[in-house]
Amino acid sequence: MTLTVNGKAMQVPAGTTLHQLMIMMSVSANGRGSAAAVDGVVAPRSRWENLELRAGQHVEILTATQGG
Amino acid sequence: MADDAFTIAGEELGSRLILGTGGAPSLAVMEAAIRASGTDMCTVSMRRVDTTTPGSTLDMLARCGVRVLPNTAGCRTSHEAVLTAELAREALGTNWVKLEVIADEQTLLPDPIELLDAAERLVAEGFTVLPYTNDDPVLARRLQQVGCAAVMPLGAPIGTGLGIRNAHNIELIVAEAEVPVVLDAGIGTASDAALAMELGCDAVLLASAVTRAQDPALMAAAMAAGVTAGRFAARAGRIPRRHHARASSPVHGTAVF
Repeated sequence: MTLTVNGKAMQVPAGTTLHQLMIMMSVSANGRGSAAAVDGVVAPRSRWENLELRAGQHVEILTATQGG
Repeated sequence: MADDAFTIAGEELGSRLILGTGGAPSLAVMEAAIRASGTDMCTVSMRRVDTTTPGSTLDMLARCGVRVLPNTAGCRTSHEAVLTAELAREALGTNWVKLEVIADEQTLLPDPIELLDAAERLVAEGFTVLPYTNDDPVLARRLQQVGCAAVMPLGAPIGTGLGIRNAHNIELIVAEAEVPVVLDAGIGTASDAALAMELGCDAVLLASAVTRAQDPALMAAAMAAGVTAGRFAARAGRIPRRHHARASSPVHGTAVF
């Protein structure tokens, strides 16, 4: 299925969870410093493992970086 | 000179200089500047993950032992800022946020309508909100009324290094503030930081003036000294300005030749 991840189309297997997607995006296993929103809603870390993504969803994955 | 604790929302910070981490050419340069500044809190931005970026900002900040203050830089609407703050809380485990809602890329000035709305919503969600705001005493008052833990008026637009363009307004904000006032943005050099403190601000937040200086670590040390000097001067109570000279040597007992 196709997701939009950080603004780009991305092919992932059907049933991919947010946790699996985070690992694909090289976010560390514990997710420290990173967070995700699915279709504009924050997905708490406690839900990553069980949150199955659906085709067409927009996922934003952010991390802390140098800034103002 | 001791016993001058600086607290925000009941939490004591070990320095009145807060450092932004944007604009440094490398993490190593940033780390050296942080150490030279003696700061206790640094801001970070929330951005899309980029696996090509080397090193971890958070690991570097952890090594320095400083508190991390996420910002909502780049947000243009209340909605964006609230969502970014929520993501930052999730990512970093802190409910503190430097709230920035800017109006346009040209001025990077805060949008007061969106800012106030975001502040109110974030306070309701339990955030400790530190808003980057205009040098507008009325807006500062409104931000306090909705429950912000500090107000952070600009001295001049972000990255300009123009110093404090409206010192009178900063004094007005300080005069009626019931929460800490942090001069945020516009600082160019150490005397600007000292002036902010002399005007009665509780702290200074700056980034570009250090990170884009030719020698960031040396400028960081200069800023720390400027903040300390300004704070001491503010507490010491300056002499009033006079139109005419006033001798400091005794006027009685002068010889007559």
